[in-house]
This record gives sequence, C-alpha cells and structure tokens, in this order.
Amino acid sequence: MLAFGLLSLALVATVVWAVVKESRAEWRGWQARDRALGGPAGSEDEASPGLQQIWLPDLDRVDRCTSCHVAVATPERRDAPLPLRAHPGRWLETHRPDRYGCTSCHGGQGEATTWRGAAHQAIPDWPEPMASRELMEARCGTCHKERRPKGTDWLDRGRALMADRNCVACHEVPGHDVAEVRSPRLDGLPLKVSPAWLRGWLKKPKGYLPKSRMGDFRLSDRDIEALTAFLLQPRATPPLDPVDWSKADVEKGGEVFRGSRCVTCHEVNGRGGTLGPALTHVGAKASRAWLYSWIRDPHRFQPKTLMPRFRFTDEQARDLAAYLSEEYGEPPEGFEASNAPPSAALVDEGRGVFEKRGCYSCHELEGFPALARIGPKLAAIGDRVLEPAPLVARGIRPTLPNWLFTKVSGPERVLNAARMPTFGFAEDEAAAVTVALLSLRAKEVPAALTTRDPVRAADAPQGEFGALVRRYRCLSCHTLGGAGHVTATGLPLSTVRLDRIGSQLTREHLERYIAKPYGVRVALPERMPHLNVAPEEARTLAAYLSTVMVDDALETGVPTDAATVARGKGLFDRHGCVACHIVGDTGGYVGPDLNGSGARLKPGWTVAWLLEPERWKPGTLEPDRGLTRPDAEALAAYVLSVPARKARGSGR
Amino acid sequence: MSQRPVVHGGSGGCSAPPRTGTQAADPAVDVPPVPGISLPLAQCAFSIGLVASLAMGLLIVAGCRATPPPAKDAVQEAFRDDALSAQEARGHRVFRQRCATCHGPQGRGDGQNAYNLQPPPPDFLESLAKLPAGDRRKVIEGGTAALGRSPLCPPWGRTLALDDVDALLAWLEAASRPVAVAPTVDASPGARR
Repeated sequence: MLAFGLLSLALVATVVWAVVKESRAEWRGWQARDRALGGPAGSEDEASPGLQQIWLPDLDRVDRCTSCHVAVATPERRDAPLPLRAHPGRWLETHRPDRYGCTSCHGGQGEATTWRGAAHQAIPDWPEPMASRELMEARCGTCHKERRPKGTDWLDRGRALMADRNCVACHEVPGHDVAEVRSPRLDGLPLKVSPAWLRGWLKKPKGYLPKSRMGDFRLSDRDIEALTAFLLQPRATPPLDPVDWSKADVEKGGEVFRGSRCVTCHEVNGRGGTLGPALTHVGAKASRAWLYSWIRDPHRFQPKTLMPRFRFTDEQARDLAAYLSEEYGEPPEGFEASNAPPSAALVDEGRGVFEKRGCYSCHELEGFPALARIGPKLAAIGDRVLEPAPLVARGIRPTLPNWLFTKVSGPERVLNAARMPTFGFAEDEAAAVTVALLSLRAKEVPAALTTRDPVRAADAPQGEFGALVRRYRCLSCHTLGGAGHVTATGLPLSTVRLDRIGSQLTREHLERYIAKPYGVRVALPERMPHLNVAPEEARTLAAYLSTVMVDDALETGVPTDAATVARGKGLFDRHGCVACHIVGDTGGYVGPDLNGSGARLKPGWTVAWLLEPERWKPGTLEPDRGLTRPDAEALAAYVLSVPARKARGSGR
Repeated sequence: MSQRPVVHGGSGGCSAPPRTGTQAADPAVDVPPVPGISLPLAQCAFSIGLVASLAMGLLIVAGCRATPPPAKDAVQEAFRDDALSAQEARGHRVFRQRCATCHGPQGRGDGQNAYNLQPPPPDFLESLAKLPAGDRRKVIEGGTAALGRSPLCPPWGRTLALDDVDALLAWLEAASRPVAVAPTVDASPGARR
C-alpha cells in the first residue's frame, strides 16, 4: 500500500516535471525571443512555428537545429543575436537547408533540442561534435570530392600537399591516383652521386633540399650505411655520354643557364621556382659527367621527369654542366662526411631497410614491385576511433584531429610513430593536411549528392605533335584536356591552358613565341624557359595548336571601322585600363603590354575574355566590369588596333 | 557551462560514457520525503539516498581535482592568428590575391605596380579612416570611379563573392588599426594573373 502510494507520487512528480520541463524548453524560449524581434521568421503566421525538423533519409540525418535557429534563411536577421541570426554569407543559396540540413556541414547532434545536447562545443567522447570553425572545411570535402573545392582555403591546399608528398604511394587514399607518384628511379644512382652525398641525404634530406618532397626517415647510422651500400651497388644502366672537359667554358655555361631561364623551375640561393629541385649545391651532389648526360637527355634516365629535353648543342650542355659543377659545387652543411665506399657486407642489410621502409613505393628500382603500400588505408580516417585515446602530448587534448595533426607534423611525436617519415610540414601545412584527412569519412554520401573533377581525357597527344609535347614537357606547366602537372599549390605552374589556345592567339604569334618565348606579362616571375625549339618544330606545334586546339564559339570577328575603334579608346580611358596595361610608353606592369596586340590576340577571344575573365582564368586580376557585348567589341577593336612599338616591334 | 565541472576523457577514470541519445540526461529525480508518514522504511530509503548522493558528489569533486588543467587543441592553434580573426585572415588572403599588386601586401600603397599609377594608391593606414563605412563597400564593388575619382582601381563587385567583400572590409578595418598587423600565414596560392 505504502509502496503503491510512493510510486504514484513519484509518477505524478515525474509527469509534472516532464510537463514543466517541456514547456520551458530552450527552443520555446528562443522562439518567443524571435517573436519579440518581429514575428516568426520566414512565416506570416503569428503562432510559434513549434519544434522544427528536417528529415533527410538519403543523408541519414534528422536536424532539429532550426527549432532555435529559426531565422537562418531570413536575410533581414543578418545582425540579430545568436541563435536568431541569419546564416552568414550566401552559403544557403547553394546549400539549401531543406535539402542538406544543418549537420551535414556543421556536424553536431541534429536530433537534440538543447544547446548542450546538440554538442555545440566538444564534449569528451561525443561521437560527432560540431565542427569547429577551423576544421569545418573537412566537412565540405565529404561531398565535394574534387581536388580543389571552390571557396575552400585549407581543404584544397591539404589535398594538393597530399598529392605532392606522394601519400598515395604508401597509403590507399580515396580520390588520389598512384599515377601521380613521381620520384626518381634509383637504378643510375651509382653513376650520379657520391657516398658522402648519399649518407648526408639519407641522414637529413632537408639539409640538401630545404623544400625536399621526401621525408626524413629517421634512419640510424647503421641503416644509413647499409642503405648506402645497397643503393650504390653497380647496376645495369645506360652509360654516360663521353665528353671532353678540356674545352669547357664556365662563363658560357653561365650564359646558357641564365638565357634558358632555368630559374623558372629551379631555385638557386633561395630564389627561383620549385617545380624542379634547388640547384644551390648540385655540383656537390651529381658528378659533372652525369650532369652533362642528364642535360642532353633527361628522359633517358628518368622517363617520368618533368624536365624538358632542351635542344642544346653538345657544347652548350658541356658548358652548362661545367658551370653548375663549379658555381654550385659547395656541399651544404653536414654533407662533408667520409666519402669512403660503404662496406659490401652491408648490402643485404641495406636491401632489408629498403624493403622495410617501403622506399620502392616512390622510387622505382629494377627487381622491386611498383608499389609497397606499407601504410594503412586512409579511407574513413576522419571517423577513426582511437581506443585507447592516444597520448598526443602533455597538455594536448587526445582527440582525432589533434592526433592526426601531431602525427602529420612529426610522426615521431606520437606513440607508434612506426615507419612513416617526417615530412617537415610547417604548422599551417600540417593543419591543411589534417583538414584533408578529416574529410575522408567512413560513411559515404550518395554519389548523386557529391561533386567530382571531370574525368580526364585519357588520350595523350599523338603523332608528331605528341612527340614534341613530350620532348619539351609542355604538360609540366600547361594543362591540356585536364591533363598536366599540378604543383603543391593545387594549381598548374602556368595559367595558360592549351585547350583553346589556337582561338586565343594567332598562329604567327604562337610560332614566334614557341621559338623564342618572352615575358608577355612583364611582372610574372614564372616565365616560359627558353627551350631552343627548332624553327620547324615551332611551326609544327603552332600549326597543330591553331587547327586542333580551338573553340569554334570564339572564332568571331569585331568591327574594325574607325568609329568603333574611337569608341573603344574612350572605354579604355574611362575604365582606367592603363592602370595595368602598357599602351605606347605608359601604363602598369600587371597585365600584358598591349602594344602590337593585334598580331598576338584573336578578336573573338578578346571579346569573350573581356566579358567573362573569371570564366576563362579563375583568380585573374582582370576584373569583370559587366561590359555589354557592343562595349566589349569596341574595346577589343581598340586594343587590337594598338600598333607595335617601333623600336622593339617584331623583334620580340 | 562554466558552473558544471568539466570532465576530461583520457585522463583515466573520469571519462563520461559515450552518449548517443539526443538529450543530455538530467540527474535522477530524488523521491521527495513525504511529510506525515514516519515509517522506518521511508526513512531508511531517504537516508540511503542522501548518503548515496553525498558519496557521488564527493567522488565527482575528488575525480575532477585529479584532472589536469584544460588541455589545448593543437590543430586549432595552428589555424589561429593572434593578430587577425578568421574572417580578417580570409580578407587578407583576398587582398593579397587581388589588390596587393598595386596596394602592397599590407595596404601601405607600395605594391610593385603602385609607381605606374597617377594618382598613386593611398596608404590605408592614413586614408581609410577618412572614408565613410558605406563608401568602403562601394569603392570595392564599384571601383574608384564609383566615388567620382580616377578609374584606376577597378570594380570587383562582379568578381568577388559577397563573403569575400565582407572579409576584405573586415581586414581593411584591422589593417588600418594604428598597430601594424603582423603578416599572416599565406594559405592561398599567390596572385594569379
């Protein structure tokens, strides 16, 4: 009887408590505040909108966030206090809440109706806390599978860095292709480097190349000695070309070095491009004889190299090799160690190290399979449950992002560093890679809701044109049909795509430029190297580009009458084009010099470019001025009528 | 949040169990003592409950005293820029990409193309305060011509996303603070022309 009485009372109390609690729910309070701000946002109704819910079966989400965030889609609430504020920016235009919900992008517990329950702040051991502002781009990457999702700063950089550092060689990474792995073959190593250099390199790659893509494997001195012995074993390789050094002229070699613009790709003394390795100490690394043979035909040694086969004479190649050996022959610090040949007894041990550390995953070597894949698969790493929670470091919360970040920054800093090398990422680079890793989720979203890069045209250029494109490695800097080398920034080195170049530039200009490139955009540091393309080769390339790499929609003309040109001149002045472009002797050093542009540019392209610069070259400094077509045509007519400068004219 | 003791996982013995439900469970409801009924059973139940809750409270206090000071999020620190907020840093990236050629990396009017311009671009540290807030957006979106000045600074309204203009304005605000803004980590590829 007593028990029954107590139970009844308890029941009553529970019911009362539940009713009171429900009537005082957080979301009701916010909706009341929202009404006070001027009525339920987004509805004409006077009544409270009640508990809101977005149910998305295909994404397996139930989001009740809009119960409190009632005004997310009401632009007038831009400055209201949270949670009654409108969503910032224009994200909801492309990510409609009724289609994608809230937690798809933000994470957190969508079903919750309290601030704490929704996991606005990280709660220990919570399965899916809300993504912090910093790591939110990882959530973009779950649906946006393309390499460079638009509007992401960190994700695209992280993905580009992962591709650049060959993560895919050791790990299976969704969205990354093993064909991108590009590291030197090691067969010819004994002909190229000295034992002293190899020891120094294996000890600390960044000691020789501060921007080395190869990580530091933290090898013991004995492992280094063994690996040196194994790698410097004589192997069957193409012999080096004979050369008579007695006539080598270092001065002339320097002229070849500067005239060919080697610095577009190679850094010397801290300045220059990063497409190829820095040459500051190259003379201490590679033998003079090897440099000579390499310059004459790099593709014979490294079929996958980005370096073009310049059309040098044997004398030029000899002088250049002599110049590099002499001018850049100083070994870097820590590379002066003993040059004694390593002990042959260690060869087998060295082979063991080579296998254990998966060196052959990146570097091809006769007798080894193409890929080692010694690391774990990275699919679903963004949802990896670390149990027991890993000890990252004292004072750092043991969460997955922190663990990933610390491991990427320096695998030796976490327990079980295992075999992964230390890539020496800067802090911001490691953060970008962490974002890219966190985007690899366990649960895939339906394919229809993802975006991807367009499938690349599989066909490599063929025939005479194809042979020239491969010889001069045009696709190391330019893109064609989606193919072309992408640098660690996620972009190709050159912004000039070859796909419709025949509609952009006149055939005469193409032929002249390929034979003798110059700086069209004067302030641009990445100038096309001087490849010494033979005149008949330049003709072949220009002919092919002008007949095949065209877009018929761009093959239109512009009126050339004096009245239109004069109107174009007026527009040119009114829009301040001279701020960036040189006409006559005045103008800015940003865009191309426009003197004589009629011999360079085609009219249809010029109009299309002026109308939509961002469409043709995302990120360009040419602004979209919202010109009308007749205005763009008049402007193009004027630009194309600007005569070439007398003094330098056609000689450039 | 601040009143609640924060329990840290991974510090051993004090981690909260994983929760998958939608609501944070509230503390169990104690059965209230019923006045007028004085039976040993009820008293006993009450005192057991009292002792139990006291013991639990003590446990929580003891457990949390053993927790180390709040731990850091290493990865988020990597993103943080002491001088600039996330939006300002984004604005600075936009600025470096589109504006720095003429205005200079910090907006001091010393970009590589500044010397080709007449009138030259101003030093924002001095000039920005004179420009009303509404005109700042106008000049970014419509160019200097929109304010009736020389047309040398082009309009970016059709090129930049709305967020980018907001970010740019936020950075300009930060850049024109009297204290020089420390250079930020360059997270974007350089200006592409």
